[in-house]
Amino acid sequence: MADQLDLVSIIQRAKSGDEAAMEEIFRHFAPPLLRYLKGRRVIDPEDIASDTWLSVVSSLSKFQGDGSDFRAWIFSTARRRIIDSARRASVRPKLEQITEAESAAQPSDPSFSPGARSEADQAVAALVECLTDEQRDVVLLRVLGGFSALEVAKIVGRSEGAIRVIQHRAMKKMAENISDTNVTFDDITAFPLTK
Amino acid sequence: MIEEPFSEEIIEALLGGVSNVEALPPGLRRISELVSAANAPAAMTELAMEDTVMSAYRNAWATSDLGEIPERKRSMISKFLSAKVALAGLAIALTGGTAAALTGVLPVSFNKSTNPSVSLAPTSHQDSTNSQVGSDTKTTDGGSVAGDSTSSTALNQGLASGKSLWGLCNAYSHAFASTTTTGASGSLSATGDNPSTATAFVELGALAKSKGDTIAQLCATAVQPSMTSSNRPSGMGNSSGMSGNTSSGGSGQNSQIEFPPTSSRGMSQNAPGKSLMPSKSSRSSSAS
Repeated sequence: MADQLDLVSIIQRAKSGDEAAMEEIFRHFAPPLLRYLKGRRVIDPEDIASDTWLSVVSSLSKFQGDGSDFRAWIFSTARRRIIDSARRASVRPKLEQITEAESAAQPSDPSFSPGARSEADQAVAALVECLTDEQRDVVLLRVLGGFSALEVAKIVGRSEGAIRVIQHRAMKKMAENISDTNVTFDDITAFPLTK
Repeated sequence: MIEEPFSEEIIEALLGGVSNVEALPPGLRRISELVSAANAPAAMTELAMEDTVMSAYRNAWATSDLGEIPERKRSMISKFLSAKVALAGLAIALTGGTAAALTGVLPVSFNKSTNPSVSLAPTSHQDSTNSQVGSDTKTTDGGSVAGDSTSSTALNQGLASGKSLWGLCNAYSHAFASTTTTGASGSLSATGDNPSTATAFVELGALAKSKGDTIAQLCATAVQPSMTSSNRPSGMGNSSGMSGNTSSGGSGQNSQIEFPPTSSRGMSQNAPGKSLMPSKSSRSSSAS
């Protein structure tokens, strides 16, 4: 996990041209990044992930900061790519968007099948299914990025209080949709929390 | 049904991932399970673009490595070129000046632009009548005459040297001869031009007057500069005749020109603008 790695030294090694360090960074951050992109329901998550990594790789020598900053940098880059993609899609003709969506839903690759989605992807999809895009963004950054509410606030450009409100409403929605049994407020507050 | 509000503690625990899922209330257990599943280890498909990223990393590293050095090199090259350009300019300035000093010939454009008053004869005849005069002036180690003739002081300083005086006297004799010759045909007199009104000749007359001599007497004392093949201008076609004259000892005075030109020396025989020195035929006859 990110916290278990000595990200600062790995980043320094990667900045000095150590391919093994870069590989370690990629293997560590690529899965949550891709899941985040899929959870945000972008049209082509692999494409945006690729753009994000290319941007990270090309600007790696200029990066300054610790592991937390590096993680925030990667996800911030991905978020910008999502925004750019959405902006480009908004100016495209609608017919093209429909065609793209259809082709994305039914790829020509014969090995593709809906069941090929990984368990993690399915879990992410189920988790944020009922949420708005803003709530989805905050929840996924917290769950997959491992950021605190304050860090998410910095990434999103909102106040920490606003993020807490968003995640609270998101949690309520999730509990309503996901929970299969009735849970009272007393039950929740009585629950002993351990991490 | 879950009642509001959720405590911040519960929300933080759920989003951060709780370890004891079994201890959660049944309604939140599913959320916790989904959060854990979302953070599952990487599948191979999720690392499919690793090769692409690593290739991009290698390329970026190589490009940034190579990109720095040329920039440094470019800076060094630009500095080196600037120094070279400055040195080349300095060298041209120095050698150009040296060449001009050695040959006594300035570039035509420079002569025209900076020395409009150099012409020893009226300007209207500069092209035809005084072309030879101009060339003769150059033979007089003309830097002092040609370059400094704009002021009388500078001119007198130039004339103080024997070379300049000899050249100017030579030019004066040519101009005088041309005037005489062309005046006979009426071409020069028709225009009213007189070489004696030329600034250089006026200065020459003034110098002669200051010494209590006439121009002829002053020019008779002018010493011919030693002519070498290196500093002999091309316009001096009859310079060999000069040396022949001096060697022949016509006047018995080495390196002196004959002044004033006499008609017996063939002013009418010589073409206008030609040297007053004896021709080859006369030289050969005198030698014999």
